Amino acid sequence: MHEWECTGFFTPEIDLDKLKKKGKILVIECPQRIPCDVCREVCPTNAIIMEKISDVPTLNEEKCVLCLKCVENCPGLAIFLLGVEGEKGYMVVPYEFLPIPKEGDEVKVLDRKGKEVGRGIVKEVRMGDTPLVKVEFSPDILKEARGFKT
Amino acid sequence: MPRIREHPILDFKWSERKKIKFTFDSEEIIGYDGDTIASALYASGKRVIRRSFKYHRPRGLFCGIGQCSSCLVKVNGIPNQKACVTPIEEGMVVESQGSIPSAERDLLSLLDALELKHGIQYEKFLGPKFLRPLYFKLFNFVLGSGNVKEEVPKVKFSEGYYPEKEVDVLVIGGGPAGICAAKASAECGARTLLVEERDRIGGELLKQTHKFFGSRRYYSGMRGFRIADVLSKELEKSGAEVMVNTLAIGYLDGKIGVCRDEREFSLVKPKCIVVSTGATERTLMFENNDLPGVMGAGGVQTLMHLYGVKPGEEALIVGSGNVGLILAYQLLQAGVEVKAVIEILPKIGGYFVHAAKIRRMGVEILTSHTIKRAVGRKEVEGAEIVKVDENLREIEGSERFIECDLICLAVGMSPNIEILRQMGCEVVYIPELGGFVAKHDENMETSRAGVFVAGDSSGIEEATTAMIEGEIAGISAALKSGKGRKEHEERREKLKMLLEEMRDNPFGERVVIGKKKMWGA
Repeated sequence: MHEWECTGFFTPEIDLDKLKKKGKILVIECPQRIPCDVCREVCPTNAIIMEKISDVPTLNEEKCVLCLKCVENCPGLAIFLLGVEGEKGYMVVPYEFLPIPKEGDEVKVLDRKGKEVGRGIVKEVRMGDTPLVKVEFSPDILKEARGFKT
Repeated sequence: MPRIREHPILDFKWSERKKIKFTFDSEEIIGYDGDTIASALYASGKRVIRRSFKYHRPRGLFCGIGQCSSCLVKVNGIPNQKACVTPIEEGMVVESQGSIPSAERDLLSLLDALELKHGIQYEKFLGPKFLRPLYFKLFNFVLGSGNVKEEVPKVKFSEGYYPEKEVDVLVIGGGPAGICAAKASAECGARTLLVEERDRIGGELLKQTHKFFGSRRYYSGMRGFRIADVLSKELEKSGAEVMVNTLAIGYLDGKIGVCRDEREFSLVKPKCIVVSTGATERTLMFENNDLPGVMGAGGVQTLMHLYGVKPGEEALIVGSGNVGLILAYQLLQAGVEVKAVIEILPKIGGYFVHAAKIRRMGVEILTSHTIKRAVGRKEVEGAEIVKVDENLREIEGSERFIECDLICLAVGMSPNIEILRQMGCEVVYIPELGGFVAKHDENMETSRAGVFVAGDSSGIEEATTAMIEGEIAGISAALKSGKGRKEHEERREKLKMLLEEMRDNPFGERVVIGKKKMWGA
């Protein structure tokens, strides 16, 4: 039995140096074998590898063009974009609650357990079936930050 | 009124909807066009809808879909109407049954305080004989089963003749499995009829706001209620006939009796039958589990997503399977605070990603915990939860009180197999499939030739596998009725392989084990 099966949160290894070098990376937090193929099917460059429908998805970073289609469509809301811009860190996460924040709003940045780990500023909101929100914050909390509250 | 004014996914179009007035225990209630009696009452803050038979304990909504008897009321003088599925009409007179003066304030609730021996009515009220009709009326009143007034017109049955319809395939139940079965059968060229009890087809899909998992071929990534729309349109294209508001009452001599709008009775004579009647939510044993505010998870989803009613302010969810986890997320979206999700087993039952979604929003998932009692006088005011050890026994001294006004039970479902049993299909008990199921083979045919089963009524699973099973059953039924060609047989083989692939994971394993057990039984 994995610990995440009991706790409901999962902390994959994230290479911050690589993130700083590349500027932005896609993080998939989907460690369990479940019958779902949405990310693979929406990916325009076949960057998500999953042989059988219940396999755990893995990312081919060389093929990934960071189009965010998987982030928007993942039914488990388990894919995130993390990035660094200058002195700031940021995340792009799906958000299905009201009110939908506006650019410039200050929000509470939450970790995987819903605990506040800092404050962030909403930089961009992309409306769609699932709105995507870009939140900027201190780069120190890049490993923890996975959600926010308005 | 606790209506959901704004929702991130759904639009209830309140401003376009007509207001409808009716009375409940002489009090005026205002509901909206599309409401049922129960949803309008709930939205007006009326949670006590009836009183229990014997002790007159308060009772409210539980299942929300007409499967339990928790919300029976008298409508325009006719007793025992299900408040949760009866649409409201202007000027309707709704009364609670057997309470004086109202369900809310019932003087007979004193009976709950007396320690009455079980069955006293069989000992005490037998004589003298001339008083029996009076006792009968009195009991009917006190027990809340009502007395029919003389002026209520009796339904007239025509003498011995009912319209009869011949079809190749009859599908009973219009959820995801039934729709796919009817569609597949019609595509094979079989004359197909689908009967659905509710006013529209779609079943559980209609109440789901989250994006579905599963295979792209079966609409993964699409929200449940939209899948229902797409499937309905595809079914229309396939040429299958659909009858809504139609209840399949029973089976006799190769015919199924169906009743439309509770009035028109007719007979259907099919060559083959597909039963896709879904499942019923289970309840759980604990003190006060009948208090209004203790509801089945599906009932809560029905209130929120079909009728736009906010089911409470603070909720506790019992059970961390996918239903419990998804419900927690849906409650948060409707603006309800979720106090915790509790799970008796040491690990979370549903998909990790569903759990992570609600954890991220700060909802606690307490594993190795169960509910001890619901607390409250007329409705839920809180819950006492308790830790359990590795043998699932309560640990004394670990009790904790959680303040909440809604307790949602997401503790599993049992397949609806009544009509299969009545048709004489062999029934076996398989815990992995949710309890009693009709024994069926890979083509979904039961022990009775020509009778097929699909979806939750063949074993509790999820929507994608229900749709695949539906297609397999639909094709099988069409082939059996003499329709379809070799290509359809080939398609069925491919579907069987897909089904196997879908179940090749820790969640599907259980079903695979259950089906194997069933074949061996």
